[in-house]
Amino acid sequence: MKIVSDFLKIHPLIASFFLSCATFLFSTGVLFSTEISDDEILTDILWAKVINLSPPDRPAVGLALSGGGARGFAHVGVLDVLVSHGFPIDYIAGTSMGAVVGALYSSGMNMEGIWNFGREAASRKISKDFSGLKAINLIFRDKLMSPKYITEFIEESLGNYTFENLKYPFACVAMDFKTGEKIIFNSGPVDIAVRASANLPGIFKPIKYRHRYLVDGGVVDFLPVDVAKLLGAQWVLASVTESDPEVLPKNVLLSLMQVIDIRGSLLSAQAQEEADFVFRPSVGSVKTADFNKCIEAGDMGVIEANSKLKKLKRAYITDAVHLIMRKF
Amino acid sequence: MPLNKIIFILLFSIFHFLFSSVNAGAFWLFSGESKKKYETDIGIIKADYEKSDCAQVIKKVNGFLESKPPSYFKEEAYRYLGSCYEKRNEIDRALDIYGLAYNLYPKNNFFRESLANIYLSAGFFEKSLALFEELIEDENSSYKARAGLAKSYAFLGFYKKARENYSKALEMSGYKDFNLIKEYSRELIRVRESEKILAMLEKTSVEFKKDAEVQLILARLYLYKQEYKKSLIHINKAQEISPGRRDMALYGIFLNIMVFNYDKALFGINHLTKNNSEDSLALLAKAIVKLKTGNKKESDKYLRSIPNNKASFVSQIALAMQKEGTPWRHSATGQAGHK
Repeated sequence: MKIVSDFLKIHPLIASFFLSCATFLFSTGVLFSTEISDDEILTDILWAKVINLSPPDRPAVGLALSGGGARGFAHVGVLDVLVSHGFPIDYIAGTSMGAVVGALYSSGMNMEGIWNFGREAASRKISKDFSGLKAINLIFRDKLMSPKYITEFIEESLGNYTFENLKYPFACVAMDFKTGEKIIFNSGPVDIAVRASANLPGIFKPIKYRHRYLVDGGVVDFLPVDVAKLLGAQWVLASVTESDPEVLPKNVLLSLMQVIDIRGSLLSAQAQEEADFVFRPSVGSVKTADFNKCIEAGDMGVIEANSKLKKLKRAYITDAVHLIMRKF
Repeated sequence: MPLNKIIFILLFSIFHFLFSSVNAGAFWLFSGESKKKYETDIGIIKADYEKSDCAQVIKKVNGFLESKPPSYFKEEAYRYLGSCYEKRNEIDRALDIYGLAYNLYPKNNFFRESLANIYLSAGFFEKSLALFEELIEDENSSYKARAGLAKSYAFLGFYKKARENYSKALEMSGYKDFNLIKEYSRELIRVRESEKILAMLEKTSVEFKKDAEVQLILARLYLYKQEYKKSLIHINKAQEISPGRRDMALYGIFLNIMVFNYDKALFGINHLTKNNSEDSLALLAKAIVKLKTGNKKESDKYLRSIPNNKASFVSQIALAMQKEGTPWRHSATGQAGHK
């Protein structure tokens, strides 16, 4: 397992200070003490109550997953932590890679299966859909590419599902290339919807479906918080994977994708304001097409979600307290 | 070549051969006496260490190292020095020594494990994880290395790997390390794997089950299963074993509320507020009792008496409970929440 080693690099003097503080706390029994604090007791009591309730006895939770290409695999790490802790997820909405991850989870695939998608992404050569040869095709022959490997993967994993027979309610977002309309998919075949949601405009050919020409929804709704609410969520948890603007693209194809990313970031700023809680895994250094780094992105999702889990639980409990007290 | 020059070259070669070797055995002219001296010195240091006279150990080791002893003596000296710094809570120095020794003696697992444990206790979980992973590659590694790895994974959020390693560590320990069992149980409670906890506790001794912490673990386990009466039985046992533990008293109060034993809950609350009339969590519990018994005005009075403190979750819940109106919003966009 590769963990990004930069995460904890700090100046030696600062490290010494923290070490000394930590050791003092350790020696006085504060760190790793077995006596539980008041805040922890209250969280424990109320959490044990709330996770055994269903809507309308607690607010319905929606999970909104952003786009981001390979970065979006961080959502798998976030989901893994949420599922491990029994955090309720009643609705899922996704864009682009968020749609892929959301759809896989909603289909009932277990977390190990979803992680395997990331492990296989490299061996399935999904990065090859963005390869140099295809880019040359794009530039010189003025021909949009067909994402062969991505299409194969989505059809294999989700080809048998319709939105109606998914285990969890799910919706994803695409854009009509002709009209610029945001198209929300929540019925019909899942594989076409997810392929459309993850279909990069200007790079991949639009997908024709029901008289519409569909491309990646990230251009109109990078972080579908409002879509989660439309599904029925009363409390929305967002996971957003933005690129690092300081990393300059090295070729035409990556430049195109950077433009899409920037557009996505601008759109997601407003959506983040509308969410009740936001995870922001540190995946800025993972490029959109870097599917060899899926697992690394996933690990960053785990670290981000784990570090904020206590805050998340308390935020949800606080907002839900009146409902909890009715059933206490 | 002049004679002086030849003599010089000869003598230089002899002395270079004698003094360039780091192995005491190479000091064939003086080796017997030097080795004996180093052995004596390290023996004294060892004796001081065994008497826990760390001040003497530190003083003598520093002097010993200045005499440039052979590598295997230095290795032993670093071990005593690092351990003494740890015992004296001079963690920065211990870290320096273990870090240096780890690089000098990469096959010595003592330095690796000591370094890993310091990083673990200080919260540098990525560093501790990397070191514990190195340790377990040695088939002779102890279950404690495996347990350290599990803890590092748990703190980073990689629960599956944490549980796999806790499970292996427990098997290796023969289920005899009670602290490890308790630690793993607490980890399993977080992810609500109650059957695994119960199965594991079945393998432990009767004596172990009489531990207050174990009773608290069982109480929390049943709390998550919504078996509040069973939970209460265990928390009462925990309090009998360890009377005066605040956390157990508070769990008992809330569990009594959850099984509608309001009188018992109030008895516990009054006991706590007798010692501290501003006990926030006890006051919150009292507010909940008043709310559940239909006395909202009294409930609000107790909620208002809880000091407002943004850093305290108890305080935040008290504030949230005081907010009147619709229990839940149904607007399309909702209010901005917690970022």
